[in-house]
Amino acid sequence: MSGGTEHPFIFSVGVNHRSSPLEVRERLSVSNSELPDVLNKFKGILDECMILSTCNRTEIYCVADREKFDKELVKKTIIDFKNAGDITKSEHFFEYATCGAANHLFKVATSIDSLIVGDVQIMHQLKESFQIAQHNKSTGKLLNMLCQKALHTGKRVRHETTLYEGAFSVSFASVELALKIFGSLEDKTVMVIGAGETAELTAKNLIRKDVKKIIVTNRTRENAEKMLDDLNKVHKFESEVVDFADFKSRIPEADIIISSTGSKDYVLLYNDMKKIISDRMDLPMLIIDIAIPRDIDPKIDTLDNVFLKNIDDLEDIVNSDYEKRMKIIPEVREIISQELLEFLVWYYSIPFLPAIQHILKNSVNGNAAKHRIIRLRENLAHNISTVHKALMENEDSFTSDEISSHNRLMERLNKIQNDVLTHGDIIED
Amino acid sequence: MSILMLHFYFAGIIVYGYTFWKKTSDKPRRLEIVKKIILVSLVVLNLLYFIFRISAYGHAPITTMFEIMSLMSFGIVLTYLYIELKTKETDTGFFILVIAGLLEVISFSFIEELKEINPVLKTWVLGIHVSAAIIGYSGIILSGIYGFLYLRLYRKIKKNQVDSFFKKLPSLKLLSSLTRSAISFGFIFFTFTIVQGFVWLPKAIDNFSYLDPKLISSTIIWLLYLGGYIGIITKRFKINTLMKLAFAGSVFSVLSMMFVNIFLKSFHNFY
Repeated sequence: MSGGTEHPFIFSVGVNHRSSPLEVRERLSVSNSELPDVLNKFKGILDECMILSTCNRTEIYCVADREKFDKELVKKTIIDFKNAGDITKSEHFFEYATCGAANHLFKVATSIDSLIVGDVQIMHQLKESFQIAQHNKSTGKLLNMLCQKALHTGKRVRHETTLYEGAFSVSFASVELALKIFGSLEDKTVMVIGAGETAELTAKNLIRKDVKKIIVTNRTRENAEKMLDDLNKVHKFESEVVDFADFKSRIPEADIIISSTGSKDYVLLYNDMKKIISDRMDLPMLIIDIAIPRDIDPKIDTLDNVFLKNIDDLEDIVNSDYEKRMKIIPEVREIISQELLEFLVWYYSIPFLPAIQHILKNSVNGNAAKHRIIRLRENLAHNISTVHKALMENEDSFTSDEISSHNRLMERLNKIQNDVLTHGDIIED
Repeated sequence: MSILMLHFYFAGIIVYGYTFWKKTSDKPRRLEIVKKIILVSLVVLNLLYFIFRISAYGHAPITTMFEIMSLMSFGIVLTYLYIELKTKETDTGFFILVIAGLLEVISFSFIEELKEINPVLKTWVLGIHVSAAIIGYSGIILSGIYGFLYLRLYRKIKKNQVDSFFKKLPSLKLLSSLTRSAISFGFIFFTFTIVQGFVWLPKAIDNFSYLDPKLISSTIIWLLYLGGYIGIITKRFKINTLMKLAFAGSVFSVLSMMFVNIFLKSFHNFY
């Protein structure tokens, strides 16, 4: 082992609600069925790759040699795959490397980077994305460990803090909004268009508020029936599955619509809705459009007594509990900090495996070898924690800073490594 | 007594205002009890005030515009207490008490006893006439406040502006229901006032005239609210239109009555 640059880098490149507008996120959104194709496109470019794509983010986590890594090529690959070059610019992407990339994934996994802090769904989505990447043989030792550690961090936050209590999520926001408009939901009918996970969760929360009836429609009738079966496990309520071709004729019955189809075009247009609203005698209607790309014509929001909310709109609703969640965030950061340090010690220890083997091989005294390895690890942890501390104090550090930090750290670690390989022990400065 | 009453109005505005504008949505039980005590005290103090005033001066407190303002303030607080007890909703109280308190402050600043009282003011029929009118106007003012709050909340929801209005106000459905109830409540009492006035006033007042400015303005307001009431019953108005009309109608009613009382001469003024 000679230079630090041989140590593989972890990079993270992507778009999220902080870096890009909704239109860009919509266009770059990758469905689970598309994921293997995109992952395959990266196989020649990156050593390891995992893509997390939700309604608010499309993020590529990858491992590559720093000298060979071309972030612009990564961006171009995803933009070309989604044919989104007309609206997507390089500036819409965020970029992190090494500690920054790992820290970012941990923040995503715990939901403190989410549009809606406390949204537990992100853990399921990360798990699913990781499994798809693993199944596609796109991940390796580094990303496997990174993702497992991120999921473990999410679990710790779930068990050790109250961040997820009160379900501060898209579904929670939708229910709050429904209560703010209708008061009681006991005589209300909900129509679910599509059978996505978030739609189901939203419907579940509405059922807990005792809505009268749920109508579900989906292009695949079996999926709609399955969703109703699942929902019926939560609570008994009046329900009906409607053929997708007929759902528009049933909209006048609905007080709340949740739409999350995978359609590329609007499933409900302004002119359809204008007539429906007049048939409803001016009764208010709440439409939650959680689909990416959007399902509902945005112009519908201009109609009186129609409240159309998309993902971005829901952020404002959820932030009403912003203060409460912000108080929990320091606890979450502490957990992230602990887990990140453990991960980094492991990550930077990889090149030291030869040194450890050298100690074990050349030592005649087992206890002395054990002592040297402990000293080596302590020294590693000390050096890494210095960089780690700096990172945690300045989380918005740029990629160039992270790379220089990484390089400085690698220089110090290489010296330790050379000491061990040359002198059989660590030489103090 | 009136100074003590004013203190309670201020205390009510501060406590209701604090719970409405504070950042968190929780409702400490102690504060809710304090709010209820202040509101009930205001009703009791108002009642005692009018009992003492009637005993001291020997006539109903309807001889000057400022006495009527005080009576109006009482009507608003009394109607609001009924609504609060019925709906358990306390977050609109701030807006109600600001209006009621403002009327009381103006009344307190300018009220004075007349040297000569028109004999008609001592008849019980006039007492019923004015009381019904005050309750009618209280309903109209409350419907205006609730209509205004509905329109504010509607806009906040549309624009995703999550602030105290969004967090603390009751649902749009409840606000619209309160507005409709207040309009209906006000209209019924106002109708009684108008009918009784048309039947009784020509007999009781020597210089009665159908062209009297107050009579005309009251009739116009009544006709406007008749339209609103029919709109509510037949559901012909869109909700938003009804709320705008409730707010505009309330402002128009108060301003027109103030204008008529201050600037125009009327047989309807007994002072």
